[in-house]
Amino acid sequence: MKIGVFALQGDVSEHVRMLNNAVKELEKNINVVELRGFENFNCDALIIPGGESTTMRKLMHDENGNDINKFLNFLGKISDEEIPILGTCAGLILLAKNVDNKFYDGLLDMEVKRNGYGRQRESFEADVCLKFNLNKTEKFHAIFIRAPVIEKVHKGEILAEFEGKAIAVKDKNVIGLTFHPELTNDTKIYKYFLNLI
Amino acid sequence: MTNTIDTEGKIYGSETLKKGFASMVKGGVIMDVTNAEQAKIAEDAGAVAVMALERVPADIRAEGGVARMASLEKIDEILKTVTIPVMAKCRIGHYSEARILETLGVDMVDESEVLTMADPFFHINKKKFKIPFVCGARELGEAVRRIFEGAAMMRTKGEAGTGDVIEAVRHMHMMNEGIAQLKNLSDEEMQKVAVNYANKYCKLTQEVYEKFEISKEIKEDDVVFDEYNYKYIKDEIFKILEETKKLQRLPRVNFAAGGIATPADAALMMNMGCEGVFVGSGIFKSSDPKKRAKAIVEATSHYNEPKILKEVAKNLGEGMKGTEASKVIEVLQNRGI
Repeated sequence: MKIGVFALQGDVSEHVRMLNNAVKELEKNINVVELRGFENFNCDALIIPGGESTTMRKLMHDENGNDINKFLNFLGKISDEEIPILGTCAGLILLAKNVDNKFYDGLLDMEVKRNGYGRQRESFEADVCLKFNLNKTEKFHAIFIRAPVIEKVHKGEILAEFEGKAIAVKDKNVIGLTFHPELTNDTKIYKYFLNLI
Repeated sequence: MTNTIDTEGKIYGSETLKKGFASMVKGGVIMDVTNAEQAKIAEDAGAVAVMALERVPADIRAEGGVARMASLEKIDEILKTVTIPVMAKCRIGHYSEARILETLGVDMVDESEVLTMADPFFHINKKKFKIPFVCGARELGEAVRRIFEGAAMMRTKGEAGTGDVIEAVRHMHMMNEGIAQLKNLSDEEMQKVAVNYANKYCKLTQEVYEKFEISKEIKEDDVVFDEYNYKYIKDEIFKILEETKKLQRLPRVNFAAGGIATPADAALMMNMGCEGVFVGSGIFKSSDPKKRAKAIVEATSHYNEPKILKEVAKNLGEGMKGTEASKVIEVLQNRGI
């Protein structure tokens, strides 16, 4: 099996490191690859990393130049094929339908406010509870960097909340996180994600 | 549908958060801007952050005078205009400029040799701040000292305002070779390197001894920089060297800066192992800043794809004229060792 990390901009190597750690712990035979584009996609799962969402939107290329809508159509197509997709921070913003009241053809039907907590000096770490199934919550040390705030979730389940707002949302096989598991050493979320394949 | 809310204490300003910020700008271009209009152009072109400045380095060179932190009205205007991170420069060693920038809300401070130095002995102890810092380095020793002081991100110094990439290339070679050569050092030799690197912090104490006109050796428990004694500095620097040796890279995100003027320059630096690019005068001193800014963003991300590079490097108009780095009268990279 093969997992792709979208590698146009952002903290790609951090995701690759954590995926490899999770793969090792699960004793699975999975390759982790960095993707430079979305043509000829042949992975079993996709991660969109943290970074600057405005920059990433501008860098989406196919052979006819850059076009964010083509990328969103591509995401729609692979999610129809039930390929798991995980977006962290900027990745979550690219997955959202409503960002700062602008509408996109995203996969997660929710309203997101970019930099909702403020600027870098308001970035923070905090312990949160993850709820991967109904009977069990697990503690997770979450790192929020100029993080977006999810104002409203229209569709899907909330996997974690902080201060009354959703910070992890899942709709079918698509997961969006406002924080950065790739900046920790805790592979919990990656193992959960890999088990969706 | 929801689960329990956990509102335990939040941690602000940690090293993880500072280094994490630097990770988020990887693969991107940070552009020097001097007003809100330029900041908007940079953001629209796909810049990953902007650097708010009073004058771009090429103008600092041309006009001379003391170069200080940008005016706060200007930085504030830029903070209000764009949603991407805003960085600003402070003078080397100028705690108060840095503190003001932190309070104003800039996302990262560049303690920069492009501005006139404020302290002839020391850089800022960056561990004392909640926001992250980026610093320039010409070689491993400078980088290790800046990391010891708490820098969350590094960049080459290059020779700012010239449009000549040679010095950035030199600094990246020096960094890469320095890191590679650590592999060939014994622990004892590494200790010696750590001592040599740490000795740069003793300059002030040594000058005072010279004025005393007595010969006196610096002792292990002498406090030589901020609150740190000589032994502590040596030990910490050794640890950073060990980590660098093990990782075979700097334990911080490292960008290219100083003289990058074209998409090809950006791709060149990325191919040398830089993780992103600062562009100073190169964009707004060219004939078509919008197009050039976008082209440099594309080239930084797609540095290894010649087909895309060929497309984006077309029809950019005139690049900045520039000055050969070897011909400049005031060499900025020598500031701050």
